[in-house]
Amino acid sequence: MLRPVGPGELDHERIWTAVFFLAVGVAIALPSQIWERLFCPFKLVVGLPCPGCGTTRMVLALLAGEPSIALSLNPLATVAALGWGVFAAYGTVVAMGRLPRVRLEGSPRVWHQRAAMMVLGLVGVNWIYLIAAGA
Amino acid sequence: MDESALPEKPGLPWENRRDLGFFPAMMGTLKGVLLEPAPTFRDMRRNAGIGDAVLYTVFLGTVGGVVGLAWQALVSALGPVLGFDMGQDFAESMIGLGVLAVLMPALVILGAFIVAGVVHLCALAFGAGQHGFEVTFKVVAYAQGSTAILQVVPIFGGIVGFVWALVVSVIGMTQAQETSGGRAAGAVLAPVGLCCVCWVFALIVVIATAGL
Repeated sequence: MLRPVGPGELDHERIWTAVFFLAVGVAIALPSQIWERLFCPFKLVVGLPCPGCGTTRMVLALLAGEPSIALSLNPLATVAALGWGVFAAYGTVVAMGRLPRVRLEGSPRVWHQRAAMMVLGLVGVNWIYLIAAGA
Repeated sequence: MDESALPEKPGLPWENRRDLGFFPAMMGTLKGVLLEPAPTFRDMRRNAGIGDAVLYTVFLGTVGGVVGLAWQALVSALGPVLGFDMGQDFAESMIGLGVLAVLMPALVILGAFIVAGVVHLCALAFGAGQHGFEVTFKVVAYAQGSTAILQVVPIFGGIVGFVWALVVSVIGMTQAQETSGGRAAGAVLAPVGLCCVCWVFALIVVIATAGL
């Protein structure tokens, strides 16, 4: 359903849109020597890529306008980043236009748990892809 | 759950800083979160907004992070004198550290939101997020802000602070989300075990501090 933000309710549209633009700004401003020094502690210790491996290279690929390369580096992170961008566009429109927000009302708490477990399941599938692809 | 029907909590000292004063409230919250996290987070307000928590973690996270970078700059400057080569151009290193120092508030904010988002996702999966994202964010922000100040200790401060933040976050989630210790531990530790990307912002400062 569509409704305005209630009193005392977190304005998720404003918050996550602002964080998105902050993230893009920081990603652009960080010098390359900092990106080059980032490493994966999980891979260093275990020898396998972690579920997030390839994310920093994905960010740099997206900033360079190479979505296909980004997708090959970490598909789930790429979809999440692009999805966040779409949400930021929606958030900008509803915040600036003071429009009602999309809210899922009345959903049982168990649905939230199942949705979260589905997302974690996708993280697991993505991780298997990263290991198979030798990320 | 209708949060507005619940009695309001007394709040952390920081949430009452208008009555206590800026620095007494900050020191009271710092001491409470680090040394007595259980009663401290039990008193944390649930639906008063996230502005107080953002301000707290940005202030202390920036101070701690910049001091950590200052240690790194000192090590880089003394490298030739102490007889070791940092392996990179000194001027370039200083520029990089300078940029990080300027970006530190933004990095702290990003770190808090991204970590809180991942922790809350895991909290929902473990059934430990009944009071919503606002509570999870505030636990993460107060834990990270309070432990960030440990970076004033060179080399080991960042690493000790990282571990201490995990412990405080588990205790905080247990109290604030009113869940079991096992579910809270799952919510906080699963991202650490499975995805180190969400800690990359903390790692930036740890790397800078430890000179890795």
